[in-house]
Amino acid sequence: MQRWKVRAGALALMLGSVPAAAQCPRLAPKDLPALATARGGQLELVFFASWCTACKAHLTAHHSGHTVLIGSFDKAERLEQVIRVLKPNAPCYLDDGITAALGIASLPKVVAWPLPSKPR
Amino acid sequence: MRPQSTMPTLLVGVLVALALGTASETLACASCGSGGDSPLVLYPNEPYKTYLGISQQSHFETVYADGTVARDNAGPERRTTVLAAFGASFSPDWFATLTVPYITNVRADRDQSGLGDVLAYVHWTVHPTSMLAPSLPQVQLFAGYKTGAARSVYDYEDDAQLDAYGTGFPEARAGVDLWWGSTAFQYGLAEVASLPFAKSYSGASRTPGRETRTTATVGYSFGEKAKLRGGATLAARSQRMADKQRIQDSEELDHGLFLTGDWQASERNDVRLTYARSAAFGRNKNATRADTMTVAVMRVL
Repeated sequence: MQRWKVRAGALALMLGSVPAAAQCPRLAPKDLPALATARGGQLELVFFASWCTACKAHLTAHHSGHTVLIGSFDKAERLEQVIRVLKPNAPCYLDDGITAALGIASLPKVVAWPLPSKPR
Repeated sequence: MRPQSTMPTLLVGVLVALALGTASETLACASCGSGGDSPLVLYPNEPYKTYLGISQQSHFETVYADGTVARDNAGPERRTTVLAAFGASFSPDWFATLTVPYITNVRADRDQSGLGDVLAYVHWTVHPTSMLAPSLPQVQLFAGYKTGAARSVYDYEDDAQLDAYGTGFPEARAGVDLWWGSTAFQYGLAEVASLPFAKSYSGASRTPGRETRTTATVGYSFGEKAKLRGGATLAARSQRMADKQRIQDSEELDHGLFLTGDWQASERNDVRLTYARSAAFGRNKNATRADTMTVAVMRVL
């Protein structure tokens, strides 16, 4: 009986009738310093959306430990579905104001963070 | 034996690779760029967007009900339209636009200028393009309303009708737009139905016929920097009514063509160049034939 429940649950998940647990937590600009410290001081922010077909290559590429994927300009369930299916080897987050803070206007976009300081 | 040239094979290979392999902008629509009166669409990454276009319409001819074509003794020889539009997104799937035309009609050495009919549209992306299912189209539904406040051929004051800037009737619209844009070669189909409302002129209630407009578009995307699209439109309008009586032989048919180039000047600015010709091919009836050239700048705010 238990085995059938698991199979039914998996089928429902595949058909999309049951939402999967959120895989990508929200990431705000204030969270970036702590995340950078945890990942060696430097981050490579890869911005993507489910509707951006050009973003797919960025998600399926092999990433270094500095890379984090930030889903933006899209609905959370669509972004997480992309992550579930493509299984990129970098952690994903949902944009919570980072695109606005960094002035990101188009996708795909790859940004190094901290941003290089401007020469005086 | 003559050595076989590898050039055609190479050329085909390059073209196939360009068509299938080039990362390209997936979002657009079949009707945007077709020279229509509501040209602004917003992508999910665009919270606000403006459109400012100037178009020049010339070579006016009337295609009569029997198919004969003639230049008119009234009406403009040249029309310049400045089209300003503003769009706002409410979510990745919803956006609305407001379009205001300012029209200048010119005939010989005389001209008249005034506001045209304002258009408001709401767009809902029912099914967005997805990198997981690139063969499925983006499906967008839209509804709109056009005011009929601008002066028209029913209430002009200028002897040559140069002060006719609108159709004279308010109109509700609804439609669907399908767009396959996941590869460099892109195509789409749009269908919009227009329902005009009755209005009284000179004591008589008048109603234009209902219109359906079909737009078929094919395009090619040169990476993210440039897009080229072309296609055909078919607008069919049923008979007009005056005091609830159908006017015989008043139905309209217009087969148009268009070619549009979009160039991304910067991350937030696009330039669009459009050529459109109405009543361009096939059987046309009670239609206006004209050439329209449009230059427009779109800016994401």
